Amino acid sequence: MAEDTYDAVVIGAGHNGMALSTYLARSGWRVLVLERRLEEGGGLSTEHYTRPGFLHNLHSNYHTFVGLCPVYDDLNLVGGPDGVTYVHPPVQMGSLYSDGTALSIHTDMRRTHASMSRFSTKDADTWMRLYKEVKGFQDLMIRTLMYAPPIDVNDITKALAVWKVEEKTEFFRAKLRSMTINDFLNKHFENDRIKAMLAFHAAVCGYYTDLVGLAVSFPFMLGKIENWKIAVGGSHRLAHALWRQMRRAGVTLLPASEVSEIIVDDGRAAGVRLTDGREVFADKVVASSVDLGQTFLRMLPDKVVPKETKQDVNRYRYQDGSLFSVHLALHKIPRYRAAAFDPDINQAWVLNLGYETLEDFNKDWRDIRQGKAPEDPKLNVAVNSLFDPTDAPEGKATGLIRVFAPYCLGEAGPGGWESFKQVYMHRCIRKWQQYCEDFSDADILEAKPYTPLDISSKLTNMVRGDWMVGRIADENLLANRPSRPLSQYRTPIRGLYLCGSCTHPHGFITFGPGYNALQVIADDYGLEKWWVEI
Amino acid sequence: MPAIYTEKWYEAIINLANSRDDISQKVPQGEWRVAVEIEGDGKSPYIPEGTTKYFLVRFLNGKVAEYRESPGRIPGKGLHYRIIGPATLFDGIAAGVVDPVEVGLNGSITIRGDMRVLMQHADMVNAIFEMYTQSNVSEWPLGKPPYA
Repeated sequence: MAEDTYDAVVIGAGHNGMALSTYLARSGWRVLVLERRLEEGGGLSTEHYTRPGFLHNLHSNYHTFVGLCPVYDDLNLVGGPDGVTYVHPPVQMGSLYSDGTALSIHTDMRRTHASMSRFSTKDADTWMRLYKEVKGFQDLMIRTLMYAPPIDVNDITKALAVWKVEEKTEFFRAKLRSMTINDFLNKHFENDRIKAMLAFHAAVCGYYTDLVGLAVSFPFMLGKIENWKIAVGGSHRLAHALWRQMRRAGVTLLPASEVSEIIVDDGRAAGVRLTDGREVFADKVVASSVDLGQTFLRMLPDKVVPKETKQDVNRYRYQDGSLFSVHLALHKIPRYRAAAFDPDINQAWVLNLGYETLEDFNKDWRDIRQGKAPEDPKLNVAVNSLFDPTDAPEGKATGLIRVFAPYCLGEAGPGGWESFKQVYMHRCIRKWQQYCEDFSDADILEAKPYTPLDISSKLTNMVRGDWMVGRIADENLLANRPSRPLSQYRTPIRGLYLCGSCTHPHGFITFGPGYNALQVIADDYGLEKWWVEI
Repeated sequence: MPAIYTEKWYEAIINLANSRDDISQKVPQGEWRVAVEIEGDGKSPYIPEGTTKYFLVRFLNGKVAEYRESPGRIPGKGLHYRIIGPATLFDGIAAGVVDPVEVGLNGSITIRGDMRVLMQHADMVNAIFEMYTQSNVSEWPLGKPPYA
């Protein structure tokens, strides 16, 4: 190692750690990033998982904050020779129903309205009012509620009351804090299929539809229902773009460098010790983008962690479930029987196969909480090759099936997946084939499962296979995430900051945790915020 | 009384804002820089259609330290907020006939910047709006912009 002292040492080269380090280096700091794995990117992982030439996004597949998140622009991550090329599928998502009908969500909301109108003109009109209302304040609220250190939800609801927002909007109500997403949908919509489509969107975003309090986030989420984008060449291309910007800014990244201990000197985070015994020192900041348990219970000396912090860490809850995935190398892109009803469904990117009512979701959530893989799996399917032919050899395609699933399979625990994954994979494939036209096993070159256990084994940050790195629930959002004292990215250890997905807003490729930690570090160290341009 | 968007009108607004110690002592202290872009929309006679008036309002410790027109778009660095919208709506807000929260919510007026401070001082935001909209500093009678 050329140097052993930096201004900042960042633990973990996921997208949050990479972004934070680049901003700091561009502010003139000497920055080192340490990564346990051999490659950077964390959840931005793309591999030839089935066969050579077939690119599979093992974790993040849907990038929904491009154009909304300031990091993409600040760090020049999109377009040009160094940036990611994104494709924005015109038919963003769809639902296929057992009776051969289908519903499609388009970037052109007039077409979404037309599709919904085939099920309920009243709901289609409601949707348009809801979408328009949310769009009005979406940018403002996303900047305030996602890309800024969080404020107390009581401050937000008080402001809404003082400004009499309820009298000025149709859908935004303080009482959403005591409602589930199911409640919201039942209050405003009448058609089961439309409700299921919108609930599916929430579920894929990591929001359980039956949890009280999540209705408050739901309208914001719907405002970006048409902003789902594919990174051409795989999600890892975004990690490449970050890596180029890191190098340009002068960040040093050391892969295969696992931190064993955060060195604390006189109450200040002074550096880190690696598992091979090397020590690196930080003059100003150590920032951890890994999960709470690793940071506070494994890396920090026990004696320096306050009892209250340990309690907060031990109390921290993860999502009720995880994802079971099947990655497929295909001879052809499947076509659907429901295309006779809605031809656009053959061009839809993210597909719901099986959820037809809100109760279908409720049943799966109940099963998952009891440690059962849903007997009749309901699928989230995406064939990226529809829009990115580079992800498979010419004439072939790459497919992805995902199912909401428990981390622990009953008493067998997470290890139960080892003996069950092949059985469940074939069950998922059978389910997919039910909706397809002429799509048999012969059309599949290879299929390979990726279990909840695989998620947490590959990315230890995603405890219990939780890609959101912490429960999405009223008690764990905004200034409650990961706990009140830790919610502002500072820790009880001077100079130690959190910048990972356990902090606000959450996992997913939002960049929010890294960006928000940056604001706090900049305030604490008097950095000029060159990236802020109003 | 002065015509809106004239030097005398700016002075009247500054004097009005700085006369309220009850507000200035309670709002966040320090410096806050707000850019306002008012777009001629073919209805307001004060700003020709297709042109934009640019203002910078600088608050210092709860008082308006500066309220000036700029010949062009004010650079975003160092700003805290940027407010953009059609002249009719800004005229309507000044006349007390347009609800600023409503036009902000429905996106008719775009507000850029971090809303956290505004949310945490929601009462003060209301008080400032009330002061601005219910104090008659423009040449038209309150509630009646001359082209309405």
